[in-house]
Formats: sequence, C-alpha cells, structure tokens
Amino acid sequence: MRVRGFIVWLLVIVSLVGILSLGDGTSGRLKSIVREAFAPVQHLVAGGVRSTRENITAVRNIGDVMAQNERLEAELVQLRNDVLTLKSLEQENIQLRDQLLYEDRSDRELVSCEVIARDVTGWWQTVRLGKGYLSNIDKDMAVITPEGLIGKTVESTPKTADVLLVSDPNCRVSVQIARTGTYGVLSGLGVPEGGRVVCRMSFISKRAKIRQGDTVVTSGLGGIFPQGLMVGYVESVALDAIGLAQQARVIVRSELSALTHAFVVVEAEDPVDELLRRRAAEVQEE
Amino acid sequence: MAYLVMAFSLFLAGLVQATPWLAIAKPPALLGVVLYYALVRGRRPMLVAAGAGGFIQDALGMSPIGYSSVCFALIGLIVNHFRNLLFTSRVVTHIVIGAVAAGAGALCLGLLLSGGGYVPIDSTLFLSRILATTALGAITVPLIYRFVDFLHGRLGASGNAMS
Repeated sequence: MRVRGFIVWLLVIVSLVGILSLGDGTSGRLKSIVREAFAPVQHLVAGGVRSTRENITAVRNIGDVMAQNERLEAELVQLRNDVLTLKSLEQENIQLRDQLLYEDRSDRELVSCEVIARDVTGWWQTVRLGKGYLSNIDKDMAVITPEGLIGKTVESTPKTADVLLVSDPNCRVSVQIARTGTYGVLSGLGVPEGGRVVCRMSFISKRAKIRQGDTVVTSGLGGIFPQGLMVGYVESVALDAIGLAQQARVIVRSELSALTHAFVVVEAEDPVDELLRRRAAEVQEE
Repeated sequence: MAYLVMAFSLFLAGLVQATPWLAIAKPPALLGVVLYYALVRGRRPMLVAAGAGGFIQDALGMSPIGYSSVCFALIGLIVNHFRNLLFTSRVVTHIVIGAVAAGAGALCLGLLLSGGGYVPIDSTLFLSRILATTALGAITVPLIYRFVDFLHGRLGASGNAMS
C-alpha cells in the first residue's frame, strides 16, 4: 500500500515537472485548443451582456434622443464639409508625392473585433479579441479604438487574439510629443489611478520643452505601431531619478476598463510576399 | 458523472474569471472549485480539480502552463489536510478559507511569475493585487461552494463516486 502511494506521488511529481518544462510550441498549441473551446461561449456571453446593457441604456436615455439627434445632424453637416476639404487636400498630396517620387505608403486596413474576455489571473493587463489569424490578425500588431491606441497583439489563435494593453508595465511603445516631435518610450504603470489609465513616458531629452496637456502620439519607430496614432496627453513632467532625462506622466485617452470593441491595424498584403508564400506552399505540398 | 460535474464547474468558473467587465480584480472562481473538493471530497478529486483548474487558468491567461496547477494543488493539499478540524459546511468557514486561500494563491502565483521574470517585481502592485484577490476570495468562494454542491446534489453525483 505504501509502495503504491509512493509510486502515485512520484508519477504526480514527474508529470508536473514535465508540464512545467513544456516547450513554447507545445504550450502554445495546448493554450490554443483551450482558448478555441472557450471562445464561442465567451462570444455568446459578451454579446448577450452587451446587448442587454445597450437596451437598458437606450430605455434610460430615451428622453435625450431628440437632442442627440439634432447634435448628430449638425455634426454630420460639419463632417461632410471636412470631407470635401480633405478630398481636395488628398488630391494635392498625391500630386506632390508624385512630383517628389515618393514611395507609395503601405495600405492599412482595420479589422473590427469584439472584446470577449480579459486576463484570468489579474497579473497582466490583457484583453482577448474574438478574431485571430483566420482574420489576418497576427502577433505584434497595433490595436486601437476611435479614441486612440490601446495596445498590441501578443498571441494569436485561429479565432482569438490576445492584446497586451498599454497600461501593462510589459508593454513599451515608442512615442513622441506631437507638438515638438520629442521622442520617448511609453510604458504602463499597472494600476489605474482614480479611474484613469496612467503611463510613464521615459527617456525624454532633458532640453525638450514639454507642457502639460501636450498630445502624445506613436512615433512609428520599432515597427509595430504605425506613426501618428493618438495615445494620450501629458499630465506632468519631471526629471527622472538620475537627472539625465525627463519623464512624463501620460493619461491614456482610450477607456481601457470598458472596452467592448477594438480595431486591429493590419498591413495590407504585399502582392510579391503573397506570391512567394503561395509558391513556398506549393513546393511544400509537392 | 461526478467528474462531469467537476468539468462543467471548472468550465463555468473559467468563464466567470475571464469576464471582460471585471477589469483588474479577478474573482478566484477556479480556486473556489478546487477548495470545494479540498473541503468536501477526497485528495484525489481535489488534485484532479487543481490540475485541470490550473491548466484552464494558465491556458486562458498569459502564465506558463503548470504554474497555477502547482499553486492550486499546494493550497488544496493544505486545506484538505486540515479539513477535519474545520466546520466544512459553515458559510463562515468558506468565507475565511476563501479569503486566506485566494490571498495565498495570488502570492504563490505572483512569486512564481516574478521569479520567472514574467511580471515586474513591484511591491505596491504586488500587495494591492493580493489584497484585492483576498477580498474577492471571501465573496466568491462561498458562492462557488454552494453552486458546486448544488450541482452534485441535483445530479446525484456523490463524492463516493470520486474517491
């Protein structure tokens, strides 16, 4: 009996050590299977709760609908005017780029995704999107909302993708001050302060003149985040602990605690790359 | 049947824990299921629940597979060892055990993750997470206990089938 108990414990320990030392590939596949199994139910639950919440809000705000309608109509007229102006500017821009023999900017498309879950442990600031690599969403892609940047994709399964939010200390983004062009690195502080998501912008040149309220946008350096994505605004600036550079507290503009939808910035397929990939697949099949 | 109830409970607990509307605070629902088996059932079903629950938590999250299973199993073994000294059916027991076990679980996982370099070591952040999880454990565990017990009772899946 004692020997049997010893063998059972030995087996438990050996299997535990085996699981703990799983390689990234096997571990990733196992995670993918579980996430795919949970995803349909998470979709259902997220969708159900969202539509209930929207219905309740609609009933509660029924009196404001007329006023809101008027405001939206005025906004529509304003936006139509803006589009007309922008169209002429776009045309002018194309002509100038042609004259300067600029390369074509790569096309980007936004993939709209529903937020279906969040990190289960609380040790990371992540959300799970309801689309994955079947919708061309891969690792290391910028994720935005209409308010601005929210993070980058870190893992992708066929139908889900995990996004590391800018509020997580592990998420680092190369940013710049829109007014001055001053560069810095943005990282999250982990916990919200008074309901706001606060990040730290480090390695700012000591000589840069930064003001409270300055807009912070992505710099485009690093290859993951396209240039010019809105991040937030500066709340305060101070010298860092060593006194060699400045660091700023940045308030993130997107509401990270109430995310329901997000957009993944997907680079459009390069036709040459696509051709090469297809050829490689054909060779592999042969 | 008893193991099906366990699987169903763990699946639901995984869903609750991953809810997108609970931003930073995470109710330790999966640990709650493990604690139920530690308090009411034998060591074997508790270890199965700890392994499966930990696997679900790690697979749905960013932690390497196995970390949560180790923490759940350790906590489950301790609770299971002392269960004869506890009034296992009392709500107060569930609240206290829930709070202590959730705090200990968060501490154990936090230490493993910081040790492995997966999360930065920040004492304020660390402490606030553990305190938040402790508070949530006191609320979540009694509810989970009642739910799993109700399922076992209704479906006739008694503990004898598991041990």
